[in-house]
Amino acid sequence: MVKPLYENPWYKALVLTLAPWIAGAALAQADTPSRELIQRGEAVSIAGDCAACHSEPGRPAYSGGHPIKSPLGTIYSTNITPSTDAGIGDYSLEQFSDALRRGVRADGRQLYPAMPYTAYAKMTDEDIEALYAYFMHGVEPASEAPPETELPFPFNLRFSMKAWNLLFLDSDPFEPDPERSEQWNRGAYLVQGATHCGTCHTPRNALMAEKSSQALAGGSLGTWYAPDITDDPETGIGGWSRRELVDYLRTGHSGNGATAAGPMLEAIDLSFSRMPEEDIEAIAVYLLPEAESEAPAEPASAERDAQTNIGQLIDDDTPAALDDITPGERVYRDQCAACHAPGGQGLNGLPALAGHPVLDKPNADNVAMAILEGVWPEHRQGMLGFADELGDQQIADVTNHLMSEFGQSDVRIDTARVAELRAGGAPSSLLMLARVGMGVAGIVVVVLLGVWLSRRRRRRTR
Amino acid sequence: MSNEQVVDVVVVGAGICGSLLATRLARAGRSVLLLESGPRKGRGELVQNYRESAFKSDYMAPYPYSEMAPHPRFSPAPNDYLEQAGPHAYQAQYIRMLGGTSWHWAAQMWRYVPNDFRTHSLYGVGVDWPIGYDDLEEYYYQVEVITGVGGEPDNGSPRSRPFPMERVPASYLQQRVTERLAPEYRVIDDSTARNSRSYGGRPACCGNNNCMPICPIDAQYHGGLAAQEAEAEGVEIVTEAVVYRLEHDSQGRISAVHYYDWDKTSHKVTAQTVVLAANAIETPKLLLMSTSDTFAGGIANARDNVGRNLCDHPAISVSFDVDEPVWPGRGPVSPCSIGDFRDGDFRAEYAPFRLDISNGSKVESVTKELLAEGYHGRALDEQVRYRAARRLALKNAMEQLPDPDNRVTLSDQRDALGLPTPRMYWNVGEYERRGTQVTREHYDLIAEMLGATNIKHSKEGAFSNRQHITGTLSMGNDPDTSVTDQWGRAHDHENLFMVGTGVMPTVGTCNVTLTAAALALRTADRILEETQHG
Amino acid sequence: MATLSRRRVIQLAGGFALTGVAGRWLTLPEAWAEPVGAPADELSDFLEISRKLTQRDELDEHLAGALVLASTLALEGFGERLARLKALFDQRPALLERSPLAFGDDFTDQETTARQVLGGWYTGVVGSGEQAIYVTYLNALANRLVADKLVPPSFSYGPCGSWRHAP
Repeated sequence: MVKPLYENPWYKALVLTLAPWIAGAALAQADTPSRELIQRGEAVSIAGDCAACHSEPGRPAYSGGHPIKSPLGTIYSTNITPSTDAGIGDYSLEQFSDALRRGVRADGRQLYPAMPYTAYAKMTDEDIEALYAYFMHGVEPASEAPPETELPFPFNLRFSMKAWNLLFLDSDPFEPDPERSEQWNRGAYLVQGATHCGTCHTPRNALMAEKSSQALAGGSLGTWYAPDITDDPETGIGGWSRRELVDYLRTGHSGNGATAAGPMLEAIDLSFSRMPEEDIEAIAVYLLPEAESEAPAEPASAERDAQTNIGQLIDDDTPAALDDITPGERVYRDQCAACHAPGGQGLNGLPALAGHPVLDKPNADNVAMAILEGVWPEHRQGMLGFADELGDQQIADVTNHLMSEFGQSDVRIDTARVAELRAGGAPSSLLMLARVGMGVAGIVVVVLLGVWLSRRRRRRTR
Repeated sequence: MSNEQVVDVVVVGAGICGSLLATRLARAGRSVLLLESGPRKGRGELVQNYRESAFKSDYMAPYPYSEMAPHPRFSPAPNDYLEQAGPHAYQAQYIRMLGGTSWHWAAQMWRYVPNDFRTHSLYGVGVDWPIGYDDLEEYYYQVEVITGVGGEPDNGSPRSRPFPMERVPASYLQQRVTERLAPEYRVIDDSTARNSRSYGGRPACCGNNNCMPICPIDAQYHGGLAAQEAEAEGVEIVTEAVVYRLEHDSQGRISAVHYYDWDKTSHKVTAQTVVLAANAIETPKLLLMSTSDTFAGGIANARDNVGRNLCDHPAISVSFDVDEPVWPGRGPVSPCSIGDFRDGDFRAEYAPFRLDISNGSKVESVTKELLAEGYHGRALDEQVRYRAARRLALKNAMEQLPDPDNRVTLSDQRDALGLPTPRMYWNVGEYERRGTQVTREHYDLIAEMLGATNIKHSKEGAFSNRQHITGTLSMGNDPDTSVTDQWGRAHDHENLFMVGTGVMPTVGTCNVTLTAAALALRTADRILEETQHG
Repeated sequence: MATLSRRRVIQLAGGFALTGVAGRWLTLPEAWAEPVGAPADELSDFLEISRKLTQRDELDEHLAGALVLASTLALEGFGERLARLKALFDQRPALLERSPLAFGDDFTDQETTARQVLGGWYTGVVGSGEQAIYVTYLNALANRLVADKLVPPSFSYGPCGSWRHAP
């Protein structure tokens, strides 16, 4: 009697060996999204600047571990590679979407709004799907787990974020304005959603939620100041042409003298400079709806800059003149004038400081921050930081020199603020507010804590 | 501060070598005290001093000077700190200040060529090192990474890994000279610790053309950064601490280091390990000063080798006006050189050399030259532009053989703290004179190829030194002919190590900082290994 | 010229001499410490001579004042020597047509003064050795002359690599 084929041990062995391959191939065929979708997802990831937080030098791409210093403590970004151990490999599209747009992880725990899910909530299903395809299939899985985030009470209780979300999360996707052009709507969609401009540029209330009534009107990140980018000609960027804004977002430099630094420079390097030019133009149309579309100036270019500006070094440097200078100007001459020229006109493609837009802000934080930390574009010429070379007084002096002499501004900084910036910003008052405002349970805990603390103190003094 | 201190390791001298070594020891958990005889100054003050100086061509002029820790000084008038006792003045320039002499340098970070370590075996001249190129290759690389070195990879010094830094783009001058001298001469990028991109928290070079005396933007690495890094790693640094005596115990171990602060209060430091990193003139001086009944000739000097075999690059130079404007003064001051004569069988006969091509601005020097020639008015203006655009200068880095007569000893002069100052004897032998003759012939040929006019050779028979001070603490296997062993350890003092260019027994044909720094890290690793259970 | 009193410069010079930095400003003999500003006619003589020597009509008068003051401090008998040079130029203007400068054996003192005046303008430094005084760096005529091609050392040429092109 001839056994059926499936009884043949050789056949069995063959099937057992090949089965995973066959099944895998079938699965791959069924699950692998199109190349186009993955590529589109990659473009969305660039607009969303996922790498800024989820990639860290020295670690695999998107494996997290980037420390985000919040006023509440350091938050470590998570691994968002498709690793099933350390990353989000097990996430379904829905879970992925919930994390992005509602701040809820697959395990049901809440994300901190260091993840800009309040902005990503505006993103379309199509973009989320493309992004999912990219992270599942366009990113290498990496099994490195990032350090755990440990915030002080009550923020270590992630469920506290639930209450926060109830109050502040607007989870309705973006609605186009039919009265406006397609380009304007595209810009609005990007600014409100993926590029999450408001995350930094919209001031926050006492509980760290964006004040929607003051969208994009400027706010402090604790150290760097994200300026007003509304089209208000006085306080915002209403004086910029769209060309200037487009150049700025694409290169970090603009014909009006603006040069990016700090977190904005990072956003330009990792995100805006890699986005399609049409999207940047759409952003400019949305942010500057009334502006001239083109400025007379040609696009910013290092090569063009390099051919001009020699011979700007005119200055009274006689002994008598040097004897009369202020401490701030002394620092300026010795540390800054080499590249920015004694009169602040800049040199041969190195930026001018005279009239620099950073000098007309309501505070001098960004000037002092650039001096402390330096300016580090990914590709172009960097600027040295002076935290090691200069003391707080010297930094305050030179900052104030720049504000008054080159910015004609009355805004000043004091040494206490410089010290604070050097230390990473003022400690958050939110901590105390939140502890008090957590509701009855919170109050009880705080009271108990207070009682325990005072008892302990008393015991010690005995 | 207490007048007595106990640490694991005391390092004397906070230059690039002492600081890199101290950093490594501190990182491994050792308590390290770094003593620096000079003051602590910031970069900004040096920039100010330079710009407001009446002596801009004197690279020492911007640096702080004190009678409490004197160094050679040339402006406004020479201080004759180094007493000259030989046929050629040895006008060393070095800086006693936190960070040391690599504050003013062109950040040249060259590896030796492998045969430099074996000239006696191969060519019958000089001495062989106790170690070879392969022993140093890893350490060369480590220093290149710390300091950010880039350069021409095919330069005679094999590499196991690529340079950590991309090259700084060649100036127009370099491109023209390279093109016009090819193929007879191969002009290559120097190996330099100069950023061409942001690296180590420092920006790319902006062509300030002021590598010497001071880069105003820290685009190049220097000892001040090394000292800063040491401090950040937990090394305790005391400046204005002039070490004047090493004390030993009955076993010959160094039991204490004594230093004066600038008020001449004496302090004592005891340590398990003592490292001298106070430059190749000041370290021998300290050893020779530290006499006792047991060591009447000074520490580490039982066989009278300390301070001998002083080598440098006895240099001649040439300048001329090229027949086209090339405008030196744009980009780094010393970007390129000709390395075709660094090695070969000819080394048995005459000294090998490298030819350095200057890209430093010549505006000041041609202006002074023209004023001295009596130019004025429009002709002066025209000539300043003409010559400043065309002036090219070359200098050689020629190997000098070790000669025991060339040496550092103690002068009878005393400084403000009552400490003896150094006395120098320096001669240049026939081997180097033959190399000089060959150099001179190449100068003439190069000048001809560049259509030169106004050719000026440096004074016949005169040699300048290049501040590549080596040999005075030579390492070797034979205690009869060397001061230190292959780890930089004094032959007669188990816990006394020396780092810096002095331990290098030969000077090769390149700037010496990289080799000295690599040796310093090698010594640091040795100290860590030996004191693991200590 | 009020800000440039001789006493002020001496104070400055003395102050910097104490810092131990060679050649920043001059260490001055105390004997020169009498308060004298640069007299107006001395300045006007200096400018007139300078115009002839540099063949420039436009010279920075403020810088001229600083040069006169520094020269008075650094060069012995500068005022009188300037007057003698002016007299010579008035008598024998043809001397200025010779290049290089060669006033002959009878006028070596005047020729030295002429070279010193030129040296101040072109290098921004007056005097030598212990008597050297820094006056200007950026405005030294030699640096101004090449300002379309070079920046004075210690100032940046431009972003890394901007020196690749022919100037």
